[in-house]
Amino acid sequence: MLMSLPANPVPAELYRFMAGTPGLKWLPWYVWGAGTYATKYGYDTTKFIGYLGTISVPLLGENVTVKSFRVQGSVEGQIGATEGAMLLASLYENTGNLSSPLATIFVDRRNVPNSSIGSVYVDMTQSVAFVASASQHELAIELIGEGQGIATITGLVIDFGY
Amino acid sequence: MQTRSLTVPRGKDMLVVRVNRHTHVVLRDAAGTVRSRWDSEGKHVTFPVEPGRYTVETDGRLGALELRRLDPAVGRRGPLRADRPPPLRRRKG
Repeated sequence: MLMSLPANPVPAELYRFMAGTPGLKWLPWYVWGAGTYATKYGYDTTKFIGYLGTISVPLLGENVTVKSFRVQGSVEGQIGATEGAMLLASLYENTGNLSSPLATIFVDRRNVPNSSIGSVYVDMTQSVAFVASASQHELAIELIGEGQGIATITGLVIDFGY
Repeated sequence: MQTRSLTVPRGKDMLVVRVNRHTHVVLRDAAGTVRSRWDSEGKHVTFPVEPGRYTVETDGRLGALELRRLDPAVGRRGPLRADRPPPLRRRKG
């Protein structure tokens, strides 16, 4: 079974607001959608890397095999002297009081010229093979971004085997 | 189909693959299991990896394979306390 957790593009009005600021910019991505909540901490963006949000992943049933984690979207590269964007998405499982990453997808185009990328679009699937039970585990996706380019997540997909 | 094998040593945790004229790039581990799959036209693909033996395969043309280290600010994806928010990650420099 494929579970798709849609995430909307960057709200245009929010990006314009942030784009008017000088220096390093916090990439103003928010994540919305079914089973989703967005979180943003009040941190100093000159000191800390961007935490974009955490998306809870509904887990139904016992002994469910998490087969793969997929991210679709676009990540801009460097344009002239302006660095591109970096996107890191990790699927975490939580058991008790500890959570560990099951799969990590990383697209770093901060220093890769847009002209050499070929396409800004991203479609990456990471295999997982983790057996989870709703009574013992919880799943969540953590998103981190950095850079001055634009990145847009259009889909986060998890393949479950029942 | 072009394939190339490589060993990721300790201390490296990122494989950068340059590729063109492709529809996909697949990363298999030593057992032949697909670890990651890239399905876009992007010519610059990054796979987070653990030490070990891997094979990269594509229906396009493989260019350079480079081993690097993840940005320390985003690397070290170790266990976290689940009852606290994820920690802030300090920028380099």
